[in-house]
Amino acid sequence: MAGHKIKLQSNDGDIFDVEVEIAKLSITIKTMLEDLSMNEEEIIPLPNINSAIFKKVIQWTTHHKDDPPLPPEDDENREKNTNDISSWDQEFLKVDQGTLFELILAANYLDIKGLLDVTCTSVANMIKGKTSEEIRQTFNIKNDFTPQEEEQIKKENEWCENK
Amino acid sequence: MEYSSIQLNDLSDEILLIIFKNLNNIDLLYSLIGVNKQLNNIVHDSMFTSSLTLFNHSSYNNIYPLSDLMLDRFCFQILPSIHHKIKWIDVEVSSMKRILSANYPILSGLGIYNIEKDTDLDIFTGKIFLSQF
Repeated sequence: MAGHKIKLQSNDGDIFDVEVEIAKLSITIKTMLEDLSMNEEEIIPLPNINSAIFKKVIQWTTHHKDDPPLPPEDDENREKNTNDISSWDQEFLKVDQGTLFELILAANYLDIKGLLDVTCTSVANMIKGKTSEEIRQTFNIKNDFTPQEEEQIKKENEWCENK
Repeated sequence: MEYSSIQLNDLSDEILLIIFKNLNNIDLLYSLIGVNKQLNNIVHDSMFTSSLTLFNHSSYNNIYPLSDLMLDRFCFQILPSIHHKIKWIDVEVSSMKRILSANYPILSGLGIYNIEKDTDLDIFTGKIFLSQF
């Protein structure tokens, strides 16, 4: 029913009035409402999401509320197409890395497949084509191999270098 | 919006796997093998290492070799660390010799692409092939 709203509370205490049909794009919230028989008057807590991220989630779900359901994923024959992010989503995802990762965590917790797909694809695009050193620089990752472990790997590789 | 300090390294293996499934195995291995221990362990999983297609192809299904930079990294670093996990390799004929010079103890399938009729068929009787199979 369009316009019918529920109250959702972020982990920093903000309460959001969200249309039921939009909130139900989250399978987690849909389950709470339907299977757990939560009253729509109750405030539903979202302990894993802060208000800044939840605002972004609502922005995304509002824009995508009329999207057709996603086809089931065929894991074995998955087609790796990393370029199919819509221009709206590309604009939406122009955020710092930390926010992007928080959106991934929120999409996973709320079980919103479309948002999870597009955020993960965005990170995959940031990885593609980079060398391991560029990956460390881009994502601020420390090389935690010890010199001994590096030496061991080098030794294991000698059979190829000697060809 | 406040700046968030979560980094790629803070994500669980489960989430990282969801991200990595958006990349083909070659792109994934090229970029992430040897970055750090956590990522190295994940990309060594058999779902990423058991079957490799070691060439590029365009949207029109034209096949072309990996760049020299990529091929060098695969031959010197990546294939040596995963050779014992590879069950299937698809190669392009011009880079086949380098790739197949390694030992693949559990290899059960090989696809060879871009074979020129007549000129390249002798590879099946040549030294490379006989030494492997």
